[in-house]
Amino acid sequence: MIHEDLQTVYSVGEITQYIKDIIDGNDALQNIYIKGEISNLTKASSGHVYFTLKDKSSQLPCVMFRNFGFSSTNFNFKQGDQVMIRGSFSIYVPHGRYQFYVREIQQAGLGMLYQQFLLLKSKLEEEGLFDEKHKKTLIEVPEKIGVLTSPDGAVIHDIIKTLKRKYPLTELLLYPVMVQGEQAAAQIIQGLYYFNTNPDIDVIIIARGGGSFEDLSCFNDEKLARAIFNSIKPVISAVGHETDFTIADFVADYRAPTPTAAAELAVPDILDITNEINESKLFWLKQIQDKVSDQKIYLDDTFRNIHQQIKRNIKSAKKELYYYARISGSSSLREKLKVFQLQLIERINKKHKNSFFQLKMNEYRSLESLHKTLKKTKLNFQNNIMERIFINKRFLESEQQKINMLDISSTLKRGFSISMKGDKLISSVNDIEIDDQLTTIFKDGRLISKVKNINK
Amino acid sequence: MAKKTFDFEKSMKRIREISEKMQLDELTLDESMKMFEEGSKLIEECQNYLETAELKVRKIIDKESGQAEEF
Repeated sequence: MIHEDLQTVYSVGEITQYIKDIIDGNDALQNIYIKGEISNLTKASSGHVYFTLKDKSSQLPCVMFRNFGFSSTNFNFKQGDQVMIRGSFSIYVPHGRYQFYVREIQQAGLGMLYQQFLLLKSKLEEEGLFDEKHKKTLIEVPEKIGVLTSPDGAVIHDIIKTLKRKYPLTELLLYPVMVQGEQAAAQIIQGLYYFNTNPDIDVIIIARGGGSFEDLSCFNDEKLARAIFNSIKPVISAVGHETDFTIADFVADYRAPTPTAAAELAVPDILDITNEINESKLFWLKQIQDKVSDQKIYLDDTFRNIHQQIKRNIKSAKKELYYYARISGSSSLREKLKVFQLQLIERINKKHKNSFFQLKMNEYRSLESLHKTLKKTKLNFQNNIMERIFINKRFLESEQQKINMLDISSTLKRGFSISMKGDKLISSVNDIEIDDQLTTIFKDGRLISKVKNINK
Repeated sequence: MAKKTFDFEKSMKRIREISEKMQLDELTLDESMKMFEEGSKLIEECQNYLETAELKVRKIIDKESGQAEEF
């Protein structure tokens, strides 16, 4: 039971103000440094910035007033950032809440180490160690990849997993190194030397997972930077997370945001290569088909010309045959001539077609040599046909005579005779002149006479 | 390790070379056919190689000698 008259009773405002005075008057709580991680970040429209600074065991509400020189527009920190703040504790009486009034903020760990990093970075940059012109290109299909990382942990397994999936044709050689601490840089330098003296290695990956600026500081070593620069083999650096940059990243030929990305960068995709190989063959086939169809057009033209020539030859042969048929005046002879004609044409066509058919059969293999010999054979072929037609014509002529004789033998038997001048049948007195020598054929012999008189 | 008799990169290079030459007009059909035969053989070899390939992972256990073991 509280007895009001026995105790001093404060109002909420009074006691809060009292505590505020104690805090404000305590030098140990004024103008001090605190480090922690930014969370619950709010940038108020008033321009003030509010956040909670936290670590594993506690949290502290912080405020940055615009009139202290901050503004929500030039506040470059974000949720999760490790920061160091300078300021003073006080109490915001209306809410009865204690908070930290921030006067200055900077990235945590930005001590000597960070200063050294910036100095080395600008020094090496001036020397040209980061220049694009020094960057070596990656070999397209590496046979052997040298990896400098810890044999423990996820990094090496991420790399192996990626290579197995993307390009299992390669060989990975792991040179185990420490990736943190004082010995790390020296070990990585040795590893670089080892891989550079190993002629099979096509590319070197230096990798480690994320960590604090201090954890990654071995990758900001000047000797390591120069060793990477001097590497004959291309170097891919994948140190820390995407947002972490180290000197090793700047000087390396390639920088990958993660170890997985480094492995991706080092090798081609087996699917792309397989596709390329398969497409090459199709492409070649198409090229050859184009060439063949060009040749085919040429050959078709040539054969069409030959065909035309043969047709012309046959036509003229036909004309001649008709002529003989007509002058012989015999219908059965005409019939026989017709049959012979057809046979002749068929024979010529058959020969022609056979050649053409064979040509088609073999054209994919031998169009080229055909093409070459065709010019020669074209002439021979033509001559051959002509010769055949000529021989056939001669044959036809002698056949015709025999047929003539057979045809007239029955007439001769009846007592008629036939007179010829040379090998030409005389069917009119206009065919002969005085002193012509005539052969007259009887059923049982022939006589030769001389024309003495012609009566028309 | 057995000495490699098949050079994948060299084969790929030759395949690309053939693709380039195949496009040339002055290449005769006969030459095209010969290249096609050569290329087809290379492609078959490459395909076999691609099919049988398996990632090898080794870890150096003695940095002085470079002695390595399966990882």
